[in-house]
Amino acid sequence: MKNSDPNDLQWEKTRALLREHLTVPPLQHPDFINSQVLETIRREGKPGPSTPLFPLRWLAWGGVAALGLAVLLTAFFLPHDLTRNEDGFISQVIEARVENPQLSVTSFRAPDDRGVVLWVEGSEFIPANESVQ
Amino acid sequence: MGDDLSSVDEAGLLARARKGDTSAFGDLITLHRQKIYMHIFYMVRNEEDALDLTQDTFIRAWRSLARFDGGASLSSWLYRIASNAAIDLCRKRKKRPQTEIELGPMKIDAASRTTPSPAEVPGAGLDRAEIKRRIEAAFAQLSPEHRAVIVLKEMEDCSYEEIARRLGCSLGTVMSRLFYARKKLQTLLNDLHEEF
Repeated sequence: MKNSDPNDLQWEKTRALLREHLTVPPLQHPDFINSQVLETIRREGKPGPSTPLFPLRWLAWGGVAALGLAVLLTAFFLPHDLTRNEDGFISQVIEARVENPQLSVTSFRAPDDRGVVLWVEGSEFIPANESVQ
Repeated sequence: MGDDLSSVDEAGLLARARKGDTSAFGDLITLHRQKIYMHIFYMVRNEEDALDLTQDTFIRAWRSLARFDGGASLSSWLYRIASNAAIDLCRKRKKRPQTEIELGPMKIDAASRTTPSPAEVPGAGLDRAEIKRRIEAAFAQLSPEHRAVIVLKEMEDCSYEEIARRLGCSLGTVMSRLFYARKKLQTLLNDLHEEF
């Protein structure tokens, strides 16, 4: 299709001028470029284009692996009682003592009963006026 | 080292070069040096600078060969390095203007669709050397980015997509730069059309 836009025609003329006059002299000694570049590369003594020690991709995978390991360890070492006693009560006796010197009290866990037993000795019964805290 | 490497497997050379094989990298230089040199010369218009920047392009390429992911062609990647190096040099030069003739300041209206009139029409009888000098001077007035798109599109016949890849910018940016670069060149060289 013939181009009839005056601006385009004008540009075609400019383009022709550019292509005619903006010339490039031939590369006189092309091997000189090779020798200069290779000499510089060897002089620098760098490992060149080898892979970097810790590329970004490795770091990302390392992060993912560490996260996975943390999840696994948590699943294995977290106390399973926490999940087993979801429907019951968890009780713990911090300290058991009596003011009456004739009495003694001992506490121990009873896993089967899911609680702590207070073992009182020296009395047939616990007086009504004794408070249990 | 000869130039007869047309049948060489570039991918194979690239793989060897990435492992540190300087000989393979030398062959890659041989494959691309002529085009890279031409591209840089078009931009900087000076043989010595073009040679230096061509060497610099390949040295930079070697140093960052590990980061070349192969997504683009090696050629496009080299052109991008070369263009950036040439643009940097042109920017440095701009601080010390080298244009011999003063064509006067011009402002181009972005909304304008017609070619602005030249400020003045020079006398007739321009010889070939004078025309070349005028064209070189006009080209030197373009910004480095505008020079790059003109070279790639008008001198090296690249597609818009290829120019975008080689310069690392969007297609819209390429078209916009090309529009303004053409307009400025036409304005600067309009009087030459009337001579011929």
